[in-house]
Amino acid sequence: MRARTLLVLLALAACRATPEAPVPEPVGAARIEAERAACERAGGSLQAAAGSRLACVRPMRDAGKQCRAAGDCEGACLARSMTCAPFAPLFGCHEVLTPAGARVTECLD
Amino acid sequence: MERMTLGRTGIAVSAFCLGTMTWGNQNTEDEAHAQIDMALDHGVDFLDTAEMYPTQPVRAETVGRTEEIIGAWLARTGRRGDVVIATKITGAGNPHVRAGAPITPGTLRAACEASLKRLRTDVIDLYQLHWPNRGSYHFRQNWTFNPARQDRAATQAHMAEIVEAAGRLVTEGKIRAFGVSNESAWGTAEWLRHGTRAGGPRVATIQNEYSLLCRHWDTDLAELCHHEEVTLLAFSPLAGGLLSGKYAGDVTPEGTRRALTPDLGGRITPQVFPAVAAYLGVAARHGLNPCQMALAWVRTRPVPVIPILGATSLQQLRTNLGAAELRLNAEVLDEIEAVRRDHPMPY
Repeated sequence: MRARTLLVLLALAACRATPEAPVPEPVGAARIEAERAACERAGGSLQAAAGSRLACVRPMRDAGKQCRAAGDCEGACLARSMTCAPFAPLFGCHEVLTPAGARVTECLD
Repeated sequence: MERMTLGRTGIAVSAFCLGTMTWGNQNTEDEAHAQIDMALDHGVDFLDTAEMYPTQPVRAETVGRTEEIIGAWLARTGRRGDVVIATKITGAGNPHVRAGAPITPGTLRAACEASLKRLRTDVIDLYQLHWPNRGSYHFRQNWTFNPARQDRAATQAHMAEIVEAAGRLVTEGKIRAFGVSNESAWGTAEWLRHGTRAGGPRVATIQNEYSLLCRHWDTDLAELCHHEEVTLLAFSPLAGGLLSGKYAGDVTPEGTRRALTPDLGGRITPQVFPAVAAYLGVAARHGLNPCQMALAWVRTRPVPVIPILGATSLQQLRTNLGAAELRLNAEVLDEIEAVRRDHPMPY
């Protein structure tokens, strides 16, 4: 019995001796919940993107502000209305203005 | 101008919406732009259009012209942030629009992209289905409506895929909210159910005909709109001009809609002129402009309703916008209800 107790204590000590052991990454639903929590802490929300993927979509503080080039906005500068995009990332194809103010079609799947 | 919210979307709009279907046909681009300017000056910042417009009649060569006119105003003024824009994809069966193609996930995306391009904007605030593929009882089809021809499973499968496609457009930032038009209580409830199941988008608005002369919405649909927080966008609140009195006595003045569409889309019936005369009588007895009375009455409904007012002249528009200041007293409302009982369904 004494030997068995010693073994248990040694085992517990061994557990305490490795506090820096890497915590396993969450998987499955736990991983999605972790990503959702991180996204919400950053002010965004986890939303369905193309296919079955989820993406952290963040609202832009300068949404709707007039812009002339990409650098005028936190996110994209939308070309038709010349306003800053309401959120990022922008999935699908959009007419946007580059940093130089040129109009291009940008697609993100 | 009072403000309202579209359904549960949080999108705030004026309590009146500016209709646009005459722009590009009965109204020139300059006249249309003057209407937008006047509406904004009166606090109306909500515009409703459609890929199909202008109407009276719909023609292949003018499809999309109204959206182009709005796009030209946006490009000229840079005031995209000052207006809330609603538009629509055309339903199945109109030979002038995409050869009558039904609404599918593919046509929904293509029509949305085309509207964005014509409107010269990056986002449509409210994207509506102009009428359901399965047909509807609106536009006087109530007289011969036969829902037994509809296929339940096919309709539900269609709704599921359209809600999913609309959801992708929301995710991409191309539309902010989703609405239906010329729908029924069953159809709207099903759209809501599919929207909830798919995680959105949820039906925010229903755009149906509603006026003193056309009150199909008052029962089952009003109940649904109340419980589900769906806002009614009331089109033809002046019944195609009938409630202005300009056609009273069965006349057709030059330059009016009736000169282009003699039966006003089936609204000219033996019952309609006595009903119009009775409502004009209420207005006259109380010293009210009949258009303002009809528009202000729409705003008295117990469930949220936004009338879509249209005009072919600035003078008409100014008069109609004046309805925002009018509050109908109990005596007027009682007389209106008495007229309704005498003339329950003029068309």
